[in-house]
Amino acid sequence: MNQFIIINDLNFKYAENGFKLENINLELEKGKIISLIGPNGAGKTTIAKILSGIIDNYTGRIFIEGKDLKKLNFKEKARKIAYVPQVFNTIFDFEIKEILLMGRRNNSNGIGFMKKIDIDIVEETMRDFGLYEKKNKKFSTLSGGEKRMVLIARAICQGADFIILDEPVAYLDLHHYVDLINILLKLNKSGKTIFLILHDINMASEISDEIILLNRGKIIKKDIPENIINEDIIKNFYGIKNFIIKNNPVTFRPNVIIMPP
Amino acid sequence: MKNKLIFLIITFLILIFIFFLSLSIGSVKLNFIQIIKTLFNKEKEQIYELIVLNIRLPRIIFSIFIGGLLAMSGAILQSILKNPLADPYITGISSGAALGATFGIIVGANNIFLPAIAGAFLTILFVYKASLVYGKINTGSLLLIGVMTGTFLSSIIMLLSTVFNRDLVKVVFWLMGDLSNIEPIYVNLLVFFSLIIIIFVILFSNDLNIIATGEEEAKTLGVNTEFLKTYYFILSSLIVAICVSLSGIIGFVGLIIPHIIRYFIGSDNRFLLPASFILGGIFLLLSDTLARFLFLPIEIPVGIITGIIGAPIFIILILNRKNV
Repeated sequence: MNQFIIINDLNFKYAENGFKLENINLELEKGKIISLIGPNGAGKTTIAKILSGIIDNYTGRIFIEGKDLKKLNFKEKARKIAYVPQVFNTIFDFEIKEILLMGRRNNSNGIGFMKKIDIDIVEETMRDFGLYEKKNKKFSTLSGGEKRMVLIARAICQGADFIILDEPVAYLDLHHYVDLINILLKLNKSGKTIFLILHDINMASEISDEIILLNRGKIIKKDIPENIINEDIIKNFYGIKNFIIKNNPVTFRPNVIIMPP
Repeated sequence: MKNKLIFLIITFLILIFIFFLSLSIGSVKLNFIQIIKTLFNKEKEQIYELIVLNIRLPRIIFSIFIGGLLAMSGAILQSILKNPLADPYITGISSGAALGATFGIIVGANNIFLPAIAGAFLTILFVYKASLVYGKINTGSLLLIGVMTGTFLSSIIMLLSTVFNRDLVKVVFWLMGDLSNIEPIYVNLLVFFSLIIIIFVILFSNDLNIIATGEEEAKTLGVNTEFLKTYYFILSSLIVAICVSLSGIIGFVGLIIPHIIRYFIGSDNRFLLPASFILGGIFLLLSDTLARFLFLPIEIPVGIITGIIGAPIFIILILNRKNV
């Protein structure tokens, strides 16, 4: 079986504002980079929150490697799926190392005195991400790009094979943007399945094996980038007129280029 | 990690030092050797035994444990509510206890503890139920409902004490916090319950760290956040119910002690909670010792001292803002 996640007839409605996800059926394959795109309010983050266990009052069934998501306990979920949030603000400050150790909660208990293997995993991850020298630095003193790296590193510490990233490149400068893409590709090569929520259609096109287009709580299409990024879809779902679609001369992936009005 | 352990050990040594210091000061001055002899039943002078074991020791233990518990519950609520301004009284439980105590004083009950703890428990139930949104504790609601409940109950207290104004002074003194009217049996009970509560508090201290960084993230990292919020809401409420019912509303300990510790060793609750207990104990013991001797022969309510010392320390900390 090559599906990491199978979603059957997922329905969910926010009691607060009535927004709903309707009849979501999806199969997400192991080892791929999959992007979820769609205009604001399409329900992208809601899907991410359901998959990562934050929202659990949905109907329908979700299977993670054959097991029903609702039947997994918190620790089991955290071993299978990691979630990198878009924003993360701590009122009380923690050191980088303390933040990464939180990623090992799924292998420890509420007091949190870690076993040697947990500390080894955290130290190795810090070295991989170039954070080892800064391990005692306070999270609040880091730049936006560094914070994002720490959160991704924490997700890696979880040891999960499926990593959801909510808008990972938002607010990043070009340098960190390139760094981040390289990290995602590296993680993917090492066997992780990467699930991205993206507004940046061109990034989705360049990096993804598959793209899922979501609109108003419904899945419109799931396909390879070449079949998703086309004039009709951009016009219909993003409501813009002045653009052209050109293939990247190196990767041949379609890119949307915005034109002056 | 090492620095934090060293901090814990140093503060613990300071606590022991102040413990002995406080045993020695008073209208009868004793030296350390006399105290140790008395504590181990080797002192021949009967009067020393009376002073140390029956008068000073219960009150000192009482101060340490009340201060420690209040500081610890402040630290818990700050993490759970993700609010650095939270203190043990923010959930309104204390006002419930105070209203119970006020009733007790007005009807002339011998025992203020029982009506106070009853008032606290009723308030815990109400605040808990009212903070549930779709069956889950919403920390935003908890904060607002707690503050409003507290304000409401305090107004009732003021109303009652104005109408029954012959008891006004008694009520006001009780409200300011008082460690002087303690009976030894309550001290023993307090120590017993405190030790149990401390163990329960430490049990999920790392989960408190995680939830302090965000509830949703905590869920994805493997923390059962609904359980954790209820667990610590109940623990902190129990602490407040016990402390306020025994000693009135002693302010500032629960707010500033956790911040002072954050200033030195950061926000890791695994160390913050035990350190809060120790430093809270030190702070209240010192304050109570001052309250006893600053204006001899008058003894002033300890709540006044904690406010007078506590507020300036808090402002100095904010001016040197690091972790506050």
